[in-house]
Amino acid sequence: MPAPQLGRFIAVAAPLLLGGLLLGRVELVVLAAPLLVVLCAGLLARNPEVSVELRLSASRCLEDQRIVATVRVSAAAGSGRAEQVDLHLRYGAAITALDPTRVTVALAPGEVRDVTVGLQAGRWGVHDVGPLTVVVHGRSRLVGGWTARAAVPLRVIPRMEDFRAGDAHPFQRALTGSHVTRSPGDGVEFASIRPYVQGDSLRRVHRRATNRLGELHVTQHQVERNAEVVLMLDTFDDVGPPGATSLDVEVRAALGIAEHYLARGDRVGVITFGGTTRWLVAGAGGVQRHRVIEHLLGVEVGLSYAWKDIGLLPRRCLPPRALVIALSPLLDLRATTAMADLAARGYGVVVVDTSPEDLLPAARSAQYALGERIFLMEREAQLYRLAEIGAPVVRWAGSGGLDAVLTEVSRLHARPRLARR
Amino acid sequence: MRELLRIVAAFLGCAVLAYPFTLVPLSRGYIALSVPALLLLISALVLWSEGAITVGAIALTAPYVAVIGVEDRPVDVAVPVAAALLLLFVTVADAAVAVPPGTPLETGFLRGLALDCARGSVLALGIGVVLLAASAVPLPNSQLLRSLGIAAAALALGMPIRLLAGRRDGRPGNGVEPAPRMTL
Repeated sequence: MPAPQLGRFIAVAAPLLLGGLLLGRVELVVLAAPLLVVLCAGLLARNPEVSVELRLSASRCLEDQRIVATVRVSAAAGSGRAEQVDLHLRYGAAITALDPTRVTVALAPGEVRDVTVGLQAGRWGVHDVGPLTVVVHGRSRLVGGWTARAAVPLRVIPRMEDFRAGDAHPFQRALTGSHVTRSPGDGVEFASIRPYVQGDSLRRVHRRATNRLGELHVTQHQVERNAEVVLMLDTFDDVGPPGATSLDVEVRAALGIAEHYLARGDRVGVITFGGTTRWLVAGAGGVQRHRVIEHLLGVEVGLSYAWKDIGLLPRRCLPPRALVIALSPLLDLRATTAMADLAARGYGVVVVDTSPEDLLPAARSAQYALGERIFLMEREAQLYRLAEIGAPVVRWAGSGGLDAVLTEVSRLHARPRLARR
Repeated sequence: MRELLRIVAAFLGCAVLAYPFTLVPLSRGYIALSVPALLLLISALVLWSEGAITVGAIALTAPYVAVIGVEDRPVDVAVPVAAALLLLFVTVADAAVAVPPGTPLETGFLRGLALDCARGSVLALGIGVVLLAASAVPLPNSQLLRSLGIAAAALALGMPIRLLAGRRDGRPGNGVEPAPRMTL
């Protein structure tokens, strides 16, 4: 492909040569001749053949972790010299380059060059490293060509929030797990000592109590059961400073909670409720952990004005008697209504408020202050409505922050209820 | 580094522009002709676009063409120096404009550019000396010789165009993306 230099050589040399002929002056021919000779020599020279490869040191990394992108540029042996190879590596907005991403090199035939660029991923998600644009100039920059390499995806795993919770869980499934239930049975957690009744195993006889009281007593244990936890992420809004937005907090907290419950052998599912609704059916084990991470990497705010409720969700992603932990900044009525619906349908719902501390900027005028008051009152009313229906709201506080509300929800669902027959 | 190349190009451009004044004393006419050329050179260096540099390079030669055309002077034997300066200006200015801003240049590229400049200078000086020597040979001023000169000039201009047309014939990779292997 002809480069601008080629046209420049001709544009400068042609008038000089014609002027020399017309005026009969050899000086003008002397001025034009070197340009024409270089031009012909450049066009007769062999073309450079350059191949480019883009690689990442890791296809997955954690937030703020550094990785290295390596661009391998090689010139084919027997081809012409590449006088100038301009490499330009583009990258996603959430990635910071630690080294220059525009580099110019020259390559001799058969030469291989590795150009490394340090990158740091600032936010979770799937980000593109690339495309890589390569512009090659041949001899005397008279001809040039360009090519591009497609972007390489980099999966940035969110930083996991530290999360620990007690045993309190409103519902347990009839599978062995690690949640201590109220019902006595074959568990390992001590419950009480009671007199022996027919059918009790002799292995459970409590010798010290039996000796002291003169009557056969046995140790009673509590049953440990498995539980199902569904994490519901509100993706209608994303507010807050970059790096600590409500969605960042939601995703990091969701990963921490999922990790905690999966480590205890529970089943964990995820629902992304927002402009685009996605779900991950509850499952257990190490594979489910990877599924949860993959699901969370695809979380994004989708603008939508359509009304959405839990009727959109398939039945299997909301198993009966599941604990729903809803993470939300509580700014969209559709999300709070969905949470209230879930609580009304008998699910144990805990709402975690992920809105930033300074949700509203400082009031600039009386009208602004009035609007702020109205907004806060409406929000207060929503929270009250949720609490009233049995979905307590708690601010995200990390480890142990949900213990109190989980106990409250467990107690709420364990109380006797009137049943219609 | 790109800025350094720009400065070098500016100095070379000024040298090309000042060269005619070594032949003739300063006069209003030549100064009036040089001022637009200087303005074009400055605008080419400031705008830093491909077209501006081409126009600037053409404008730099205008005062010399005027001096040679208007004045009845003997053959300028120092013109190979001006030819070398012009070639250096075009080479360095193109390198400076071809490098994207903020791009670190590796020493291999700079070495290649310096080699290109040195080779170009020697070539310009050599060709200039040969042409001047050939023009000094007394030849009969015949119609045939004039025709031969015109034919040689047409060939000199036509050959690059012919070579260029050959390059455009279906060579892969020229602007075709994405190509797994690029061939110019």
